[in-house]
Amino acid sequence: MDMVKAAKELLLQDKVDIFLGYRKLDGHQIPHGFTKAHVDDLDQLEISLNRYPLEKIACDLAQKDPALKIGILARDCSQRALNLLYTWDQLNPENIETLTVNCCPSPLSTHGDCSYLTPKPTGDYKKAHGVDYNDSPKDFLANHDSGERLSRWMYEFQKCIKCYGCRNVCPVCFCKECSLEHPNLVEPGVLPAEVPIFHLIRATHMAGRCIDCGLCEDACPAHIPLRMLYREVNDAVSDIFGYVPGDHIEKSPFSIIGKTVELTPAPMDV
Amino acid sequence: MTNSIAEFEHDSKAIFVIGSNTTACHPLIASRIIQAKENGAKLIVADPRNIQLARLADLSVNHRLGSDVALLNGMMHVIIQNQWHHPDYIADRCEDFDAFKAVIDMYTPDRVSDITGVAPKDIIRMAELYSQNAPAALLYAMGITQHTTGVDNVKSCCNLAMLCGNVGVKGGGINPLRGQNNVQGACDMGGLPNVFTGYQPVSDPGANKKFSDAWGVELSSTPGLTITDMIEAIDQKKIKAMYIIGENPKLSDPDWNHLNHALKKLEFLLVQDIFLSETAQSADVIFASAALGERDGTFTNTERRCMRARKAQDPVGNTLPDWQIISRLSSAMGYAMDYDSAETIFDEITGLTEKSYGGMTYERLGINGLQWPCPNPDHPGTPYLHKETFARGKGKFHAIEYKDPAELACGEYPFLLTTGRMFAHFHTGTMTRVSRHLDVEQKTGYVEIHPDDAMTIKIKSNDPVLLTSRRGQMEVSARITTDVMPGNLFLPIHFGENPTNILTSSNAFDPLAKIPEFKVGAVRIERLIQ
Amino acid sequence: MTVKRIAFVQELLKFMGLEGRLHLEWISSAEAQKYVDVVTKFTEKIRNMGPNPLRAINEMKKAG
Ligand code: SF4
Ligand code: SF4
Ligand code: SF4
Repeated sequence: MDMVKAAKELLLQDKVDIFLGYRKLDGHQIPHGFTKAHVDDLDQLEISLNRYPLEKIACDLAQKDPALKIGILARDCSQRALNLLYTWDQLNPENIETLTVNCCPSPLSTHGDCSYLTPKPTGDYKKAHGVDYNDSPKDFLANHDSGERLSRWMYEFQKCIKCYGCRNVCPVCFCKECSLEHPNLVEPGVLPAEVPIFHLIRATHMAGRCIDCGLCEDACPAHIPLRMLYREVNDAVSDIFGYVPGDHIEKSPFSIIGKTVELTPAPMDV
Repeated sequence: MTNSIAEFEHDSKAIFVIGSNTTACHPLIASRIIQAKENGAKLIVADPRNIQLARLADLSVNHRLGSDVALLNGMMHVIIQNQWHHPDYIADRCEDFDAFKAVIDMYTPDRVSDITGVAPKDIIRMAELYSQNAPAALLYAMGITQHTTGVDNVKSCCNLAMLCGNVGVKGGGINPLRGQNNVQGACDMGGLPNVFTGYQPVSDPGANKKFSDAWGVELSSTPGLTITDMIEAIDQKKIKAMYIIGENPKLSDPDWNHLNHALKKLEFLLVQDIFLSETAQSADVIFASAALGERDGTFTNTERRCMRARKAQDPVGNTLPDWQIISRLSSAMGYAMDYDSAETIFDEITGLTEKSYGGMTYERLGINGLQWPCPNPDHPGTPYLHKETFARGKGKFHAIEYKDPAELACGEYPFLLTTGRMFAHFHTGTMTRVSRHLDVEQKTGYVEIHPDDAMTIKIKSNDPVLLTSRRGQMEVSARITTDVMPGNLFLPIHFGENPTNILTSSNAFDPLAKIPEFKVGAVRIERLIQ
Repeated sequence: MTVKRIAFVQELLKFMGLEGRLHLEWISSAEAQKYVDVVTKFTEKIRNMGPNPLRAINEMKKAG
């Protein structure tokens, strides 16, 4: 398999010190860091539907050793995450080598290796009282009045068990001090995580950051349609700021202060 | 658990949760329950507190602390009255129904409502939801077992499940959610005073001979002591030394004063733990053991699933896996144990525990593990028990009368205190309070009190209060919340500076299981002037 | 930037059915009357919208 050969070359030619990919353990795919010393382990390199935020592991490694050269098995979403992490100076692009895998299908390739190609089914009760995983934010806004939007999202949020899984798995949640743990912002020690402020904070933080990988929604044990929520965030960011996170390596408009803009505040509608 | 966790999500049409704060204490099981609910299953929640899961329930009730038997009897009364039970199942598979029914007949919704504080119409609705949406799974946790009537509570749960033909079917069952990842495994391994592995009684001559032969020593056929009895025995100087592995009784035992008094009488205390727990701090000798991720082994979880835990890195410093410490100690004391790996020990276990673990090997366990009984190498494991018959043949209905908890609210102690976990910490906090992220959630102990009661004793949020029970006194800060009912208080168990067992009783325990009544005790609460 | 950020938060709140509770207006230190007018108008508006619906949700500790 070409991928195995390419990854071996990266290690053998010292282009990278570690290569992040997946390997099988007792029939289960786990993330693994392959090294030159055990280069033959790469024969077990696996590409399947499963995904882990390998970029996040890369960030951790880079923090411990900024000079470390890291190879990554990258899907489209990993590529977007990497771009964003470069933009925010979390990773140095000069130290990263990627090997791209075929994932998101396009007119050129219909096959893709990604768990998101089969949509998550939404149960009947959730359809009636909560938020459909597969609804588009625009349709959701058009089809439900304000009171119903509120009750549906609050239904979803009150299930939150505050596991922080959404933040911990997110490739672009890299803050050293996280606002979600700040006692003045979110009341500590209670379940559900304070509704809706916990989720509003994370949603606003995802503005200009979320690269729509969907790992948070996958991780959420309370089955909250987080990806759908952050899709709305992304739509708003693209409408208002004209910015798509992770698209290019460019300065994020969220890191710039004081630029003049042509937009007048919306009038107060009473 | 008679059934499997995954069945809640895929097969159960109704889920009845009683005495379990599932989202806080068993979050991954709660995840399945939420999924089931969103796919259309009915959810019934009964708990003295307003737990998070109650928000999602089709019906949730707050019954009085300790009134579980009455509530369950009331449901069964309604079920029988309405012919919602399963006469064929009962006739085929169960016995002693008539004596049981005679008792149930006395528990009319009105009478049960008086005992439990739950409205008659809610009792009727609970009965309907549970019995009319088959298969229905019944889940419970320590809210059922930690009572003087713990065994009665469990038997009542079994009665209800059998009455509706819910035992031995996929998606049904009686499902105790065990308090720790490996408490099932520890019991399976004979971590009880009266049995060898797989619940083979020490007093059974056949079993005793089997183990004596295998280990080359003559083993005692007299059961040992429960922990409740051990404290007594130390007090009476019948026990002089103690070896405690991975447990922190200074916080987890029911009566702090009593226990400390007893521990002082010990001539020698040896503690083996990964952290310096409260108990380890008063030990004569401490063995530091390796943590999860530093050793190989297996766990058996609440659904009887035996799974491998793999070593990812070498133990820190000079710590050793528990099995190596025990082997070395044993060898030093004259009985040589020379196992070369955790796997060798597992093979010995499976060889001696034929009926449940006999067919398991490390290789077969793989990532997903196997659920016992798995008696031979081709056996796929058992997702749910009692498919054709019960272990004892016929399922026995127990006629059970409601009994008051050991302590009721009275003039001197007008509040009822219940104890339990909060989501951010685990047990006595040995492992969780050292985590920065969990410490952010909850730094120290607190007592939950209803706003009406807070008003009566004139306290605001975070004010210090004094709790007094017949055993002792404790200062703690108040958290005002409608999560507890008026007249009730809740105290989390994780905090050494507010040890709940200063207040709880060691004299109130279930006569059979010897489990202390951690869930109800009478206390007084007073404002402390700052 | 402020105006864009506020526009974003307004959009997000609307998505969750909490629209109308956030407003941005430029007022210089010389425009005392404008300040009074805007604050009065906004207070009036919020009062007419009734109590914060979130309070009810956080106090709703029970579904049944
Ligand atoms: S989809 Fe979720 S996990 Fe992925 S970047 Fe966005 S917020 Fe983070
Ligand atoms: S939630 Fe916000 S503060 Fe926390 S890590 Fe993510 S972006 Fe940073
Ligand atoms: S993953 Fe889900 S349950 Fe966990 S904190 Fe995030 S939203 Fe809450």
